[in-house]
Amino acid sequence: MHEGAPMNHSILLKIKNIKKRYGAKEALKGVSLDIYKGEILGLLGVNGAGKTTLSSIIATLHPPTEGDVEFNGASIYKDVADYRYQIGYCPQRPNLNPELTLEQNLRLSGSYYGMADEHINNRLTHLVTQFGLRQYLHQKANVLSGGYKQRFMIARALMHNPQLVILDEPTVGLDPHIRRQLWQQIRELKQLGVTVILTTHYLDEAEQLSDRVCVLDDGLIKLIDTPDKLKADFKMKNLEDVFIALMSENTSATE
Amino acid sequence: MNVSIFRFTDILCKLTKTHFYIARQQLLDKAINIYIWAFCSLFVMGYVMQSFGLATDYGCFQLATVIGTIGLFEVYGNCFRCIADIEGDQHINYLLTVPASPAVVWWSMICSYTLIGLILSALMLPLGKLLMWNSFSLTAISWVKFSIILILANIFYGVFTIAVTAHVGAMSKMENVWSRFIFPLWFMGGYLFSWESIYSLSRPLAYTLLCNPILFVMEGMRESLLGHQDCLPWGICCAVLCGFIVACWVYGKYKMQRLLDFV
Repeated sequence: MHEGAPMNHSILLKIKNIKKRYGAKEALKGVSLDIYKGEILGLLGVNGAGKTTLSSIIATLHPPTEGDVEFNGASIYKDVADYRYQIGYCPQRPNLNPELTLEQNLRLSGSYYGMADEHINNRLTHLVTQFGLRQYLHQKANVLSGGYKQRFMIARALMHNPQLVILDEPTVGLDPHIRRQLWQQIRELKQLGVTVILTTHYLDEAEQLSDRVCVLDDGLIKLIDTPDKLKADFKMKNLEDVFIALMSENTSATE
Repeated sequence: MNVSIFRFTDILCKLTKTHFYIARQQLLDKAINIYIWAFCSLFVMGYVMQSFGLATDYGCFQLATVIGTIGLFEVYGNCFRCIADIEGDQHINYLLTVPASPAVVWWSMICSYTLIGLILSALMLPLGKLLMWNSFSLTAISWVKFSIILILANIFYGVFTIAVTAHVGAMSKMENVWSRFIFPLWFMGGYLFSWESIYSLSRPLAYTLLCNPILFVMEGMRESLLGHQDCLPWGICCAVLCGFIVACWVYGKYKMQRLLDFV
């Protein structure tokens, strides 16, 4: 079991020695990690550490150069389509269809996942209420502010009730009060038993939301544990101080 | 396996419907543009150029080629929209994570391009009849052959769009689409001449032109629409077009994989 693994939780996703190369650059250099059912795992790291690459591989947007990802014990690459029914992916950059209204975007998303019309209606009503989106339903994506686009993106990722949600920097550029609202919505996902992989730059966000945090550095896992354990080990008051201490260690080692 | 095919077909239909729904919003504009282009082309070639010694039935000859090339002129716009999305909104990244094979996503786009191409091409028949009137006989049309070659031509243009998009890959290289692909294929593809006329002029050139898929669209279109007997055989035109569709698909899929790095 990994450090800080929640007791009595079974492994949902097993990442096995994932490597990703873009030409000569190695973005991931062999990442292995277990993600447990129902947990929120915070993926942290500086720019270029490999967070987005790892989440896009887990979301099956990009293939790894080497390694495997197992979902409930089976390789996701045996039946990618089947795995995709179980996951919801909210990338860092909103990619709603700008030619369609937001309602059409959500409805189509549900239909791609084989949901019946009645189920789509119910789910749409629920998500629109949960994320406060009703007044924007009939507008197109390009008229929305960043915060609302992001909420629609998360709503779209949740349309088909996935077991695993991958949120790649969902609160970047959002106002503080909207960030807090999104935090609450992420907590609610956990209460519903959904597993969340949360990629973030904000250490307060990771500390508030994550059951465990995984710090990536230069394509490798630097450490992984619960925020409390990390704070205790480093004798720091908050995760931000732990992170700075870690990165300073790195700089000293390089020098 | 059967479940996957059923699911993929369902997603293919839904994606095609969505692409078509979006493209349909511009259908009127496209139809007006094509009517203007076709009117100018047919009027000049069918009436004006006869004063300079052009054959009296050259207008009909042009009508067949205009119908055959409407889909080709859609390639630039479709390619532009694809690259704009790849470099801008990146909605394609979402589509590549829906529970289907990437081939389903590409074929949904191809189906939508084909449908739009077919509608625009079909709209040319009434205009052609109005302009050419007595010299264009609807009874000379072999409707089955015409439908088949039109469908194959527009599928080819759809697949060709994906291949060209993947080959070009960036907005900064968009001008290459017209000057390196569309214009030479169109102009050397029998838009103004038949293959037989080139054959009598220069055999090596005629054989070289057989590498151009548009030539087979034009020749097949002329035989089915005008009943010309001096064209390349219609069956061969269809078979060769099928070959070009497969070749463009294999190339387009390979280049798209390299461009977008999808699973």
